[in-house]
Amino acid sequence: KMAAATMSPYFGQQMSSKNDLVPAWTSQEVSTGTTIMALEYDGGVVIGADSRTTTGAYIANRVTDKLTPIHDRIFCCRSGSAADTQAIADVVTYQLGFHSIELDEPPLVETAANLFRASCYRYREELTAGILVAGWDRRKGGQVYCVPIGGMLVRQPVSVGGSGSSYIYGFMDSNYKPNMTKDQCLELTAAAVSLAMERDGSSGGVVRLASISKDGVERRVILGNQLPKYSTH
Amino acid sequence: MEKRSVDSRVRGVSTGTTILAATFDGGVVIGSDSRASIGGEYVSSKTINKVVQVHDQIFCCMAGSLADAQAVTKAAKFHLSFHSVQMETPPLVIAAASVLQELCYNNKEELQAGFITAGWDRKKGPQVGAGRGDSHTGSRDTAVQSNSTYWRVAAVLIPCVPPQVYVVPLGGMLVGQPVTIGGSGSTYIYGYVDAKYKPNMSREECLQFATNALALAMGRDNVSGGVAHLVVITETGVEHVVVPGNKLPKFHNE
Repeated sequence: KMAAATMSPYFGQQMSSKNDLVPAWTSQEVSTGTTIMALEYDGGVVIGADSRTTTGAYIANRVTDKLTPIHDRIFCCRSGSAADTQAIADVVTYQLGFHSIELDEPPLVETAANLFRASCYRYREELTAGILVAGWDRRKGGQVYCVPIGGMLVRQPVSVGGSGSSYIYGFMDSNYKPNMTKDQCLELTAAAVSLAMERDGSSGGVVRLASISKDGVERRVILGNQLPKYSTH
Repeated sequence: MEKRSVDSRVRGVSTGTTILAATFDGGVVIGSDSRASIGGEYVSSKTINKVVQVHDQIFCCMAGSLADAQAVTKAAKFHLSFHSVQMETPPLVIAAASVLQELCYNNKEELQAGFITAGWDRKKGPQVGAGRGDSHTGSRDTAVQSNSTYWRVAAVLIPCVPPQVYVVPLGGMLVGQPVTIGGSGSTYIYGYVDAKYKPNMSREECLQFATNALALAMGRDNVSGGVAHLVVITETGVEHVVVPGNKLPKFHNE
């Protein structure tokens, strides 16, 4: 049985502002309340995310890139506090780069995931970060690791995260099948993220996709008007 | 569904259930899970039926506090039967939904219950003039304004109201939609329902869609579970379908 810890919805709701002349969002933390997703296929991984960063009700960045490279063939998808996840990603990028030079070999995805887990677990009281680590290495091929809030680590063939993820669990459970091709994975990711963006107020903008395999990383963007449409009701 | 009392000033508390209703070509399917829980820790009933009959061809699904929901549906049943005696005709589905809405809105401080209403009704007597040629509208606005449609049979126009689904959530809003979901388990199937629901499905397709949706929600929500209770309402009558837990569709991660 696959266990999946749910990401808590976005936080940082300080309801009282200092005075009424200043809007509430100036005192609210920047959050990537978001939808992120990663899937394994035979030969690599596909990752996807929306592009909205909010401070309360204001969208601070509507074209955010939440797919952050950690190494040549390892990416992470960030959800939760923008500051926390950026800081952790920077730390892990440094640690992994150093480790890879020492080893004189490309690092393993499992190593990267463990570095994330180490930081997220040790500082679990101070941090709010839900991260998906995905990539390709020579030993185990495409892998997806989920490091939710609290600092658990679990490998899953498909994982979703962020506030928008609740709305697409049913869609993912029914549409994911093992051994899909890369293009099927890309289509599924784009569809799922679009569905979540339509229902979750903290997700929106464009859909960013990336596929990682032994041949490298391919990135693409699907703009708002090109997204699949589902609103018949 | 929670049996313990909850501070009524606390709003937005998710309640332990999954309910849904969907229209298809010729009728509606309304369904729910069968679990009643206390505080999300103890399952107080594995086989409760949350689909309640409020009139011959009108059913409601309840979500929220079981006590509140049962009290409201009992009152609604009474109001509706009185109304139908006064009007000398079976009530319209929107009348049933409005009765629930009035009860929920006027008592919104004390109540913690939400409802989905679905059924079939037929307006009597021919009406000439405005109407739509298509037999199903599928859009949110027209469902609320009880639109009339016509089926042309030879040279006679027979007006009838298409099957509708209404949702009355916490607070007492009333909205008509072709498909609607509710309860704590519904958050997990918004994506599935948005992607998979199509207007004018066949009866079998719609039943399969509803069963799948309930099974997916029960698989992810710990306070939804048990069996799937489904009711199919068409012009000809009402059919109950119960899908036991071990016969529910299984997905890749089970």
